[in-house]
Amino acid sequence: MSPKLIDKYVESGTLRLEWRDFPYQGKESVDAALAARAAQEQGKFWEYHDLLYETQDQGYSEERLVTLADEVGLDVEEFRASLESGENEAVVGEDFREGQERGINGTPTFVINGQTLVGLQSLSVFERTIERAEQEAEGG
Amino acid sequence: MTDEKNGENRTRGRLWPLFIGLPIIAIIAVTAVIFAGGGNDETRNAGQDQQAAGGEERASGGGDKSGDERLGHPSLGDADASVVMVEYSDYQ
Repeated sequence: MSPKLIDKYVESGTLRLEWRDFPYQGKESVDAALAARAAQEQGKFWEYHDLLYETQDQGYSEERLVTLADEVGLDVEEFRASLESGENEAVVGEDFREGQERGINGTPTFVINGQTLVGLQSLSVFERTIERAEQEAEGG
Repeated sequence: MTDEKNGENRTRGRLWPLFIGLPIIAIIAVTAVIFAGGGNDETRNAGQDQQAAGGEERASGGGDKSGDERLGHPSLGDADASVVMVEYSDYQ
């Protein structure tokens, strides 16, 4: 999500962003989602999430995921233990099933107060959609 | 001989408070040590409770853990925001 949208709408209290894992592009996709949830256990989901996107061209091998964990300051042993336990597979799987039930078939997909936007969108599209949703929520 | 016996009796007479007083002092000292030790345990336990609470707070602060210890949805922003954007995505 654009930092401009976060500054404009999240910081002002208008918008809340919720993340759902929809790892549909193979093993590395699932591994990255599980790694981000392991980071979440240590309170650093968003830091890890951002770093995954910034370095996505380098792939998501296990070694790479551990290196990123170290870079964001996670307890690496705890991070490894989380990955090895598979304890978050159910959480990621539930997100994926929820997306399928909603008819999601590609990423990113955004659902803004019930309105769906598929694929990357320009800033102005987000602004219009958020502001319309805000007016409707306020009865306008 | 009689003088010696009288002297012993006088010495015993002067020392009897020590025979009673020393055990009492010892009991008081042991009791004080036990109570002081118990206080330290309490302080340590309170510290551990605070650490545990801190860990839970951090975990739940970002919607990280739900009541049943399963991870919740990562989120940003006010829980009462009028607009909610749910993003379905992967990292590829």
